[in-house]
Amino acid sequence: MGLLFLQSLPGPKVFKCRCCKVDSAPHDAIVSKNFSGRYGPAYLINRVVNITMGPSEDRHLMTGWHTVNDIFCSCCQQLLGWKYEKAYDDSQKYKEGRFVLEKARVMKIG
Amino acid sequence: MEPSDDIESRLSRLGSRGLIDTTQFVRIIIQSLYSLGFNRTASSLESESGVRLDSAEHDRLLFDVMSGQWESCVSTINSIPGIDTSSLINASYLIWREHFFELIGSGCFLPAIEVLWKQISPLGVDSCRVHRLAQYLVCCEAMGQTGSVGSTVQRRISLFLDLVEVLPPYIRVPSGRLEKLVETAVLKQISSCQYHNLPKDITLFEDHKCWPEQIPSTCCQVLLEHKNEVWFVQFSHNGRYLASSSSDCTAIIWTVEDDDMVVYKHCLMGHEKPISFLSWSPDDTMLITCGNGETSKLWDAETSTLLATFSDPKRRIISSCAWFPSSNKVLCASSEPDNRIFACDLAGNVLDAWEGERIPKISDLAISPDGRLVIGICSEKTIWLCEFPQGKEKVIREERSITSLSLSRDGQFFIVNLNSEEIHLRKLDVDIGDGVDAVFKGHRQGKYVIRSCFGGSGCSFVASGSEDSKIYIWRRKCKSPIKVLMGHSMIVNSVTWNPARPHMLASASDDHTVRIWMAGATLQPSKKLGENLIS
Repeated sequence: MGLLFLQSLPGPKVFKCRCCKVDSAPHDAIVSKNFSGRYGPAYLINRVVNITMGPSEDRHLMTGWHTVNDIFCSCCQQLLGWKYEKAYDDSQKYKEGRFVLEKARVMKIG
Repeated sequence: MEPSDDIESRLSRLGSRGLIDTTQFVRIIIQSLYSLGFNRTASSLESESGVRLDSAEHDRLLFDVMSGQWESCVSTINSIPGIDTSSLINASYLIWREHFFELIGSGCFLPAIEVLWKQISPLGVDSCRVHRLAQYLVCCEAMGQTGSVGSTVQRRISLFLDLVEVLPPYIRVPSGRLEKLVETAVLKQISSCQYHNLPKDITLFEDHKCWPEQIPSTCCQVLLEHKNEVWFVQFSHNGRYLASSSSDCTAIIWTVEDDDMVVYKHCLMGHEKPISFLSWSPDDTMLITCGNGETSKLWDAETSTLLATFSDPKRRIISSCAWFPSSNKVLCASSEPDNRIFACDLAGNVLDAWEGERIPKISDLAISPDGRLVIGICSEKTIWLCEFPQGKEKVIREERSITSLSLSRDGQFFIVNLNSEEIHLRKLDVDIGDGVDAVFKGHRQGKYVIRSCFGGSGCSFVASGSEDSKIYIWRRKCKSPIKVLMGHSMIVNSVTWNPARPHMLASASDDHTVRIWMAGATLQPSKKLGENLIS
């Protein structure tokens, strides 16, 4: 589908998509390692690259109601996690604009 | 209006807003008649309208200068109403200086000194000039020279011409004034003309305005030869060939015939990966193709033979390359495992290489047509300008990621496509500021590399592909598109505007086709039918 524009991340430690090995997120953008996603443990990350977002959905997660967008690797379309669009609980507001990256779907390099 | 009416009974102001003074208008007309050679008409217009071309002060001054009556020159100048002090001083200086030279020329040194003391110094002009005159006096006296410096009449004529430059313009109408005014109006119309593309004679009888038919807007040909997505198209510099590259790992060269039909020439096969980038040599004899994550190959454009392969022992990926104007050296940017920029000759021998920790990953590279500036897109968000080979550098940071780069044909400007669906235009200069010269919006871009180009006569238009399968054309001064071309069914990856034929545009799309668009104004009626399939 056209020439995909793939961003590359500098820095020694990056996360790459497990399927197609394009860069997904830098290691130093991790906010928390104690999250759990749909498939097991996950990270909360500030910044991801080379993703496409799905539509907005309201979901009831362990910590309450949130509006989230699923994120997919732009190269192989694998589901990598989601992005917090809006949190309805004040204690969860810090998550807004950040991403959850499933550990099972990425691999750590470096 | 009866022709024998005097000027006072006519309107004293012309034009719908009353801005134009009739007397001045008539004087300008008389001046242009004289300059065209219609002396009789001009003088009869002078007598009929009662308006003289030259003002009274002009005639008095001319008489005084030519007869050498310097005091009355100065008093004439002083009597000019509305003259400002600095012009007065300059004019007086010129007159007295001429008097000074003539006195020296005829050997009267003592009167010359008097003139210098009494007339020139009190004027308050730049003291260096006064000192130089004094030096000249001493030299002449010492050498006993008295000879004239050129004929007196000629000197006085040139003095008069210098004087009218310094004095207010109404003394004498500047030459070519009417032509200059008309030209200004025409240029203004051209610059505000939105679709001005094809060269057309300017007529004075009506305001110049171009219609959308000047811009390529009708799809005349659909080229189906590629078997997979077409990622890149580019016309050659002379506009006679078109090269397209595709994810079916081939590149095709097409010929643009004299009747503007595009005909298949031959196919360049040999890559094993999709070809993401190609570049014509400045003399249009050779083509470089870069595979996506593979090496680059150099081809002869005429015969389609493979001349060289730029690979290197470390099997680096070459992301982009650019030609030097001499057509025998190429600059390549490669990455993985380490970033490297290298210049090599046509056989693939590396001449110069920049590598190391500090070299960033360059995704797009270009060289200005005169070979002085190198531009690279580093780490997706930075534009790097560098004078080649050694020289000043300039780094500009963009907010969002840059996907592609394109230079204008004259090497003055460049455009970058950003991820945020904007195209930024900047001046190609190491000394520019960080501000953007123009921003174009309206197209869609998000995931893919979309390329844009300059085009049209004088590179006054910008065209870009888009992810919504349309082609957008902007005028350089305007943020919104002036034309949107529809026809492709999938995203348009790249567009290119024919440099030699400003009415022709080509576009490459994921729907496996290359489309040729032409301006309605140049088409014969028979060609406006839908698609011509090339077998």
